[in-house]
Amino acid sequence: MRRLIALGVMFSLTIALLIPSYAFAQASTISGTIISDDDGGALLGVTVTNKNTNKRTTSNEVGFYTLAASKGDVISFSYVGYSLKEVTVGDGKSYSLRLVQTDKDVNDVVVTAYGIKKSKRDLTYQAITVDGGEIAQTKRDNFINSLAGRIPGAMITSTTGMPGASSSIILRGPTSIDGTNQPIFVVDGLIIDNSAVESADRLPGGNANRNNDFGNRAMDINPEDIENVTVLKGPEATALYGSDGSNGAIIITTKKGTKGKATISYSNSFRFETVYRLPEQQKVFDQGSLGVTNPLLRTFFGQRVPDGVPTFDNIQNFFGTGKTQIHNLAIDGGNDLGTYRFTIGTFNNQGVVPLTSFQRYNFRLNTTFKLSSKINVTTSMSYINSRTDKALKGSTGFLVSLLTWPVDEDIKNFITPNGSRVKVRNDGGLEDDNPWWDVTKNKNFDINDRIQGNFQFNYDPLKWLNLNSTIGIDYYAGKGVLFVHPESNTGISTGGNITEYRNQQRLINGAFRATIRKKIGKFNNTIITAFTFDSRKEELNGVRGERLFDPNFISLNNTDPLTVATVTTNTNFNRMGAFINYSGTFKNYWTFSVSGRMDGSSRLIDPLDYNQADAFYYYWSAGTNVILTDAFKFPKEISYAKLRVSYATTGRDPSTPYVKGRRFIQSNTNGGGFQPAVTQGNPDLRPEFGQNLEVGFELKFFKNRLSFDFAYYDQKVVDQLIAPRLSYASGSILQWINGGDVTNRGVELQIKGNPIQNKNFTWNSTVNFAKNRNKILRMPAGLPQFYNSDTWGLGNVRNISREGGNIYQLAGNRFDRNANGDLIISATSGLPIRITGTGVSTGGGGFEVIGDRQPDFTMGLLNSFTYKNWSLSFLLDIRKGGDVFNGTEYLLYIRGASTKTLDRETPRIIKGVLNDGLQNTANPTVNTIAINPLFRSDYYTSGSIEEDFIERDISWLRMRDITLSYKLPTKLVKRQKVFKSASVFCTVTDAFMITNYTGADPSVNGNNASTRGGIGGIGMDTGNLATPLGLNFGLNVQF
Amino acid sequence: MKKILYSLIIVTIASQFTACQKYFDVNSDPASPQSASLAALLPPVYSLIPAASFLDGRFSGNYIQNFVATTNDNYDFHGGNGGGAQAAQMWRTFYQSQGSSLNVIFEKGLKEEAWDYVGVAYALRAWGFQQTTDYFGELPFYDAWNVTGASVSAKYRYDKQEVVYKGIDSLCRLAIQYLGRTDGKVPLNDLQRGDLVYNGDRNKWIKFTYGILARLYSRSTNKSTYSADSVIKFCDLAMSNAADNFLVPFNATRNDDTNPAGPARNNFSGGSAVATVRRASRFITQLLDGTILNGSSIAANRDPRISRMLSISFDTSTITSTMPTLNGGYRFNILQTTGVGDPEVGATGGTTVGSPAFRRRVSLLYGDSTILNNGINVFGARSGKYVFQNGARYPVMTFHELQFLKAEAAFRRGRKDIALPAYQAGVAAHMDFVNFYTTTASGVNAINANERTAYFLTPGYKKTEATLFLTDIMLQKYIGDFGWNFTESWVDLRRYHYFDFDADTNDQVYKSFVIPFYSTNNQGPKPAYRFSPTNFSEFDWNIDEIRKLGGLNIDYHTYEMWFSQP
Repeated sequence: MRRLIALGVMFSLTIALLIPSYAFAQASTISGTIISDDDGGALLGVTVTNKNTNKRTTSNEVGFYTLAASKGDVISFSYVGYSLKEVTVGDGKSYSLRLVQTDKDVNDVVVTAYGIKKSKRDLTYQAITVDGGEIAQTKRDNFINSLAGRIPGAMITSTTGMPGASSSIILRGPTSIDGTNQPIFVVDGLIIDNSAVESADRLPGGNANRNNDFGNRAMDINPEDIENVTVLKGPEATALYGSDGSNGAIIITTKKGTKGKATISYSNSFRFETVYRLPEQQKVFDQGSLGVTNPLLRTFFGQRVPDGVPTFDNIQNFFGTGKTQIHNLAIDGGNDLGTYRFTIGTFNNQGVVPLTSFQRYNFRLNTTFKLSSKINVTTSMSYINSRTDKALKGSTGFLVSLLTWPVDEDIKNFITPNGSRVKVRNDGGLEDDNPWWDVTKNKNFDINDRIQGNFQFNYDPLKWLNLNSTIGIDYYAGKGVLFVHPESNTGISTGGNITEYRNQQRLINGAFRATIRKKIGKFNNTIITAFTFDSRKEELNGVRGERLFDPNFISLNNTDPLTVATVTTNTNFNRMGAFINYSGTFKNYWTFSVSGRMDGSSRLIDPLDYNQADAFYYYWSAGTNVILTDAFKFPKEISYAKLRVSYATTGRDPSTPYVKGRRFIQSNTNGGGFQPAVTQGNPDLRPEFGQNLEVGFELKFFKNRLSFDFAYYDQKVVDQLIAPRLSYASGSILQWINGGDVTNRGVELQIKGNPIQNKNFTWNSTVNFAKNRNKILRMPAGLPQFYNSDTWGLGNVRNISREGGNIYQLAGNRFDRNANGDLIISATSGLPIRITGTGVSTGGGGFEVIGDRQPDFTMGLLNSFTYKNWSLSFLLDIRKGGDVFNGTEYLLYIRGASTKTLDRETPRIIKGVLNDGLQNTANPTVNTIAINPLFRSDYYTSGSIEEDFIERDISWLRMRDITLSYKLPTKLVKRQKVFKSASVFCTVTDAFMITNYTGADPSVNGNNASTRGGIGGIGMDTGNLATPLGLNFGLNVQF
Repeated sequence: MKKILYSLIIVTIASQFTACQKYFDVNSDPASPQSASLAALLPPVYSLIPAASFLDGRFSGNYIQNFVATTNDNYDFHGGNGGGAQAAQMWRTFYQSQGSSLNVIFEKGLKEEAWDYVGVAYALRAWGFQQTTDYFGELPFYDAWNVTGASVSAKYRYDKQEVVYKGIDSLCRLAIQYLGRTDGKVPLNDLQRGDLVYNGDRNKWIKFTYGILARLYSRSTNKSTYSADSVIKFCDLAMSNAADNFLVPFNATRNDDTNPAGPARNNFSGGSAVATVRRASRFITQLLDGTILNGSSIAANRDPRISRMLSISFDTSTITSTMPTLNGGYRFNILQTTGVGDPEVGATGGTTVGSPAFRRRVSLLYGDSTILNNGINVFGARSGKYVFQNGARYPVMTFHELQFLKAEAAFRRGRKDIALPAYQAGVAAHMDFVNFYTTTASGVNAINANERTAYFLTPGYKKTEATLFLTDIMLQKYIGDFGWNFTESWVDLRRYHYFDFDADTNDQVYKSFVIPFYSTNNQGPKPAYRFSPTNFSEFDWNIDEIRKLGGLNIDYHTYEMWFSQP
């Protein structure tokens, strides 16, 4: 509290100090406001130069400038992307003008933390902006997916290709071994929730965030409402967001109304989707075991399928054509006093998997009001309703079952006339469900209702002072149901079961900001000081019941009351923060910036020993840049050159609340009572701190027609907050501690070119390149390793963090080898011996590093061409290197369904030495045991190892989206009076992929986006549907 | 206007600042308490005991041949658990689930001066150390639960077993001291609220603690420091009758409140941790059917306890000549490599109900023939047999066990005059104990007076000091411990190195106990002496200590315990 007061005093003093300097301002100045001719918006950062005296200034946030000038001086107004304007000073003192935009792509004002607009010239860090139109044009259900390839250094992974799938995004590289690595999402200055339902701990009988996917809530945003997205990765940028921003920030600005007559725009899109890539299934050998055909088995180790046996194209008979309809209607308009924009969007997607769908309805109203010449108010309200109907994925999901469905069984024959399940195997139904049965009978859906509101109050009491207050609320209520039919394989033991959750999330946050802009001598000074708060409440009630009375009725009332179990999870926390940022620009070419931030977080409070001081922590950042082209003379080919350096420390509180104290969990044993939770809190937890350096430059050549934006970064998080597993002798299974250092080093480059620019034809090209190197410098508490059990989904493959390694690594078992490196072969079976998790022989639990998912580099290649009224653009997404675990193939292999098992009729001897006691001597016995895999199913089962299914150095080149659009000629449009403008388009998403990956899609997630820690299950492909190919066409009209 | 606005902003910010106190005080979970009362902490602590004892007993139970698996089983062959997920329950329970609860009871009990709770916690901690060290040998004693500071070291140093034993001794004495204190701040009957076992009776707790000491002192029979007098003294201070037995109750309404040894939990077959099905062994069947103690299994030689402890097969007649003596249909699994084809085994044969092979199967311990057995996931207290009932109170320490301990000590002291009555009291008390369970099981009658008298007339039951030998005491103790006291039986067998000779009878103390096959990992005919701590705790996160012990060697489980060495 005392610190807060001190800060307040400091803040007031700073203001007081600046007031006198205002009083001494010179009188022989001109001033005015510069606005954009397009939308009347104020232009920030316009360079105003007195060509006679060479004095310069830039316009402030409201477009205002003052400059010393005398009569007859020529004043130039230059602004990137706008045409230069020159004015000769006359008698007047006020010169307000409109600048005309020439290059729509260059948006030189960047919205940074808490809605602070900054001129790109003054930024000491990289900030990449993507235009909203580009995002919307991809017509994806989850707009995050459209960012892939458009931002250097963003790793975007969709969980699956099913409707409503969650998507994860990691900027620059994962820094946290155990906490979240997802950036925050900010809409119009305020943080919104992007959580995904965590099913492992929060749902009774829940799964480990692998089989079910609940979406990530940022996907509620209607891409059509997005004006642009700025991605802040630089430390200084995100430092202002405090704890939440340490993984970067996705800043979304929504479209606002424009002044003038009301316009109505309508757009639609119709989409057809088809499964693009699927793993293959062998169709040569029949069901059976040990070379003996047995139609009652779901393993394919039988004899060849006899000729003439009718076979079915089951895969074809399962997948359908996905269909999507998107309609968007926007009404906008306004006058000098205010603007409005009201939008309605509907998104209706039926997936390629039967009965899966995603529906979303968005309503949004954005308004701006000018209450006086000094006060304006911006508000937005939105309501979103969404529903996802989905199928379970993963090792027990529909896809694996589909790929192991016998070719001589018709997959459509899944239900008997009396509604019972048709089974292939004689094991009481424990075989995988027929996918048709699965999607028809096992209902799995989520429904969400969400309201967001945002109120911004902007006040300019004095020319040098701006006060801004923003308050927002984000509230949603969700419901999810997973119904497992009593006859389904996972329902048999429980007599069918229903897991249902209802959650409510309420997030209120706000920022109060004062901005002081004042020129003193040759310095343009800006001080921003702000107070922010963020208060969240989440309640999730998970209920599960078993033993259904009626096998088909989906309600908890249909379960045996004795089996009903509930889990209630509350996640409440409050944060506040205050920061002060000073930035000064010397002679308009050298900028430096210093910030200090204080954060207070309830997550750092010990509930049993309340001490408010525990909540607070402090950090700082500094940065500088020089615009070399303005400071020195350069050849005319170089139009712009800027060097920048920034350094920041960032503090972060624990990723979940309630970890400072002890938690007691209800016991269901006799007499009830409470037990300490398996994860123990720690009253001594401190916040973790990051140290981040970014160095970069921007270069523009040939009148900005070629530009480079380069950044090198080195970020390090020390003494991480982590809940590792420990020896049980600690009294806990997982314990919150501080420890472990991780670094990310890398480069990012964006090259933009405009090779051709003439009246009829333009060609714009953007290349995004990123390379990141992650390293674990020190493990917490000297632990040998850390893993996230969610990733341990199939066989013995899971993620691993080890000292000297990186967060992307995978661990698994290996075959035993002698000192010479020869495989050790069992003398009884003739098969190699797996070093298993018993730990006895390896001392490491049998887990060795077997893969590394870190790509060598990633690239995005964006090209757009316009010829008269035609335009064509496409985005190629390129990745080089990084391993992928092809779990689907592994599952098919051990069941004899993989095409890799087709050579089973060739007898073989596995090269190696026998484990006869001589294996480590100078003369080991060479294995001579011949195996005929046709009769030895164990060659494929116990004789195989997951490591062999880790595909190395997977690269891809994928056409993420390609759009062709045609704008109806003005002449044509003018002939009628209905439309002001109209265009038609055709977009193909995920048109093709060239890859060395043998499975379907290397860019999937074995978990879902709610998995905390590292990069989760990215690059773990088990039973995941590839992103389907989609063909969209539609039109945009304006009335 | 301006003034109003300014003051509004200032007031808003200021009110936020002054509201800090409340604003940040939201870090306690509304859904789960941050603190629990002492009475609420105790019940789960009890329920964890059977879970740990029985679930690990599934593996040690094969070492001691309480049961034998129906197919080749690593534990039947005295292979090690290799530090895996099997036989990992006691370690986890003692240190983590029960351990963390007891830590809170210490912390709160000392603060609130609830001495009885502190005493109970000390007693249970002593019990836990005893069980855990007897399974695993060396373990963290001083370093246990030592987590301080945000940045902990993940190393937990192991202490030698003799250090742990001394520690158990001290913990017991602390327990007795606290249980005897009446000067605390809570009412003397406060313990009653959470005590499902002794209903707050401190004297019974003190007796239980003396029982732990009796067990502790009985461990060192191979050592020069062995003090039989101490064992006798502690046995006398411990349980004085069956009412003092430590039994954990079960309501048997759903999974979590049902005896893990019962049919609903079905822990003898299936399940992820148990690949094979455990059935009664030859050793226990022949101890009860008269073969070992009375020379043959004719009806007159049979122990009346057999029908109350074991289950009969569907087929009670002699089927083939390979089954020489009719014992009433109590078939058993014998330890062999194939396990198929022998009518006494036959458990894997015949899945068709009613087929001869099916009928010849050895019954599950909780009874699949004469006893009503509803099977998996069907709850109900009376389902099952003996301690293998859903609602059976699970024994932790009993009067009869201590009588046998006393008899052994007195015998070793040369005081057959004390040994014989203790032995006889033990047998009689165990029959009462068996009857205690017949009252709760469906369709099982109590042992009546006639059956008792008849049994006492058999030669296997010793009536004179001259005919009483160590082997009689130990075999009766084995019967008394069967099915629940796995650790104790294993300690006994290890103390007698499985095959130690009794000079008085010129036979093994554990007469007819054989281990025909050993796991190749044992590197020779070496029986198992210990489990490896689970890799989820130790191999993964505390490997240095395991390495120091030689725990990475594949025959580590055959390393003899400190207590069984001279």
